[in-house]
Amino acid sequence: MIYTPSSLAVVVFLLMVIGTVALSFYLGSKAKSSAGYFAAGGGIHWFVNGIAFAGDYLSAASFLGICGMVAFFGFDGFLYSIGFLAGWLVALLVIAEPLKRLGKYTFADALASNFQSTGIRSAAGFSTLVVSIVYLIPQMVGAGALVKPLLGLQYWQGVVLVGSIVVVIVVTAGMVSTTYVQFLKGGLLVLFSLILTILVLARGIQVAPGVARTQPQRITVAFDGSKLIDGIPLGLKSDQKNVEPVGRVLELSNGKTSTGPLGPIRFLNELSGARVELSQTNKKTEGDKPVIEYAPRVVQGSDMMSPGNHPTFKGIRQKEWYPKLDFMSLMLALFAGTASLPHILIRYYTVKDQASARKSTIVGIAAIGFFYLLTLYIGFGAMVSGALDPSDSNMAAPLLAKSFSELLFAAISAIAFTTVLGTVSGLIVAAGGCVAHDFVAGMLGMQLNDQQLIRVAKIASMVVGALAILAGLAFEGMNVTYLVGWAFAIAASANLPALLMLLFYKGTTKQGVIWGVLIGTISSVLWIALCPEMYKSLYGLDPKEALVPFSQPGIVTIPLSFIVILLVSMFTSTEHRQPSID
Amino acid sequence: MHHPANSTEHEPDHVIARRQKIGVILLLLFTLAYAGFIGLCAFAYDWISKTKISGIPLTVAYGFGLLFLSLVVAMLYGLLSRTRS
Repeated sequence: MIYTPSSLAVVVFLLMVIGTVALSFYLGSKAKSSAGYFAAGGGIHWFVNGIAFAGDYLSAASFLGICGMVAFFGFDGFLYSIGFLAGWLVALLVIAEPLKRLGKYTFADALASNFQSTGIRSAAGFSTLVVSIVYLIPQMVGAGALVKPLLGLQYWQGVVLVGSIVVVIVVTAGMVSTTYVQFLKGGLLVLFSLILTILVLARGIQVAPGVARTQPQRITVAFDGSKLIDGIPLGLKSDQKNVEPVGRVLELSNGKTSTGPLGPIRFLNELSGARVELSQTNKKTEGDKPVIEYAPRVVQGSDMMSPGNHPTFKGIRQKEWYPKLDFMSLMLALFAGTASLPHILIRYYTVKDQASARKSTIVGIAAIGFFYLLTLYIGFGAMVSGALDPSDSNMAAPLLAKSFSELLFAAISAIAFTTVLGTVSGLIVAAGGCVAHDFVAGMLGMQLNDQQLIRVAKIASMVVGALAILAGLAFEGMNVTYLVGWAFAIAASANLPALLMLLFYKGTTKQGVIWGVLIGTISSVLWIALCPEMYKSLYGLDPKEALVPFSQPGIVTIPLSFIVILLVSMFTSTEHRQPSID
Repeated sequence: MHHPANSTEHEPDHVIARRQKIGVILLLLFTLAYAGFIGLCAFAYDWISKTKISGIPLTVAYGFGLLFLSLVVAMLYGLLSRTRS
């Protein structure tokens, strides 16, 4: 779909970006020490940190990806919400306080604290870098998708823009500015999602005028390389044609044409009885030219409230084991991954003590849980709004906002953009800190003063930012939520087993931790590289030829990492066993 | 080189151990509820998708329930940690 850039949206967007960068410069002038740069001096109030948790965590995947998935595939998107939130309990109940007690700047600090081991520090640094870069990919993809309707820019321009702005933010102020950007972003995201949900419920559901579409919308490529839709040039001019939006309600229960305002439960009841026209994307080749078809797909509302509509989850409805394992593997990764994400873990070092770490996590859970509740209504609201872009599910929430008002669209889009900025900033701070502390000071043993450490972290941040831009360009078009699932699986396989074994198994040795982290990281990355989804989406090969049977690695690689830690610990010398943590 | 950014709290070991025990018990309880949901979706799809509570499919009701349970468990842990310590 081609969008008309909105000048209001551009103004709001620019104000948001200028405000964010100005805040970074202001706070950057205050944070001079490495403790200030990497951990905000441990001086962030627990409530601010809790909302900043929400800001860090509610990424492009949460806002754009989940709403888009709910809009096109119903309850399947909400499965991510459930998994994402459930993971926070692992963080609160077993990880938060020990991590705060044992560490100083990075996740590796906590792992290495009992052994003073550069090997552990290097392995944990390696996993932090891998997870940060993999998690950066969906954020960049989300950014590229977002700037198309917001600013009228190309996808690649959006990716480069976000990468550049974030590097400026991180290089100017580090963790202090990142925390306050996250605080503002998290608060605004929850507030505007609530406003959007109230508007969805107040509008209710209406039957769309006209008859159901019977033919697909076909995008083809003309001889000169330009795109055609149904044989007409694609565009916004009078002699051109644009992709038509979908999400039209064809029928409501009891022959109604409009429901009027609805409460939260009644909305779900009415949607359950509705028939809605969505679309299904089919990509094929005719001759040597690619063809994309957006075929009409009529769904019953009640069916959209059960899992199994999205290709990722359709295995739930099948009898075969592999698709069911794929589903369970994803849900396990979401559950175990949150407490293993580097940019979340380093946030525990920004508060003063364990009680603050605990309280900030509870605030984070409340804000994040409330937001995820709203995503179901935003997604379902988009599904019946008649404003869905069949070519990009990630645009569901901003376009729903646009169906109410241009100002709301501008605000939601700008917030979504800062969502990406905030999460990317957090990840790059984590990666930069990891390079400075775990590799340069830890593994290489270089004696650096505060300013040198900060300089190393800033240079590393620029390199990671450049890598994120390249990765964002390579993965254009993939659903951001799916990509996030992989990042969670890698984090959960690499980091959580080592953390848990260190806390609960006194026989854990330093070799056990090192091998557990390395095997967890490498096995999950390899599994993803060889899985059916990568064969189909990235390599353009037949997914049946993939070397592993399903796409989500967690159910194999998380237990594998536990087993490796246990076995290596049992077979390595007792002199390397950890001293008691208690 | 590595100066602690914070670390101002020094709790007795038994307090830390007791809180860790509370955390593990609550996590196990929540994990059971979460695993139940995943198990029902994977192995009792027909039943969970057709059963309704007040007109709402059990899938949605259970999902909402897990979100609320997360909050309840988090607040309970906060409360128990405070009183116990």
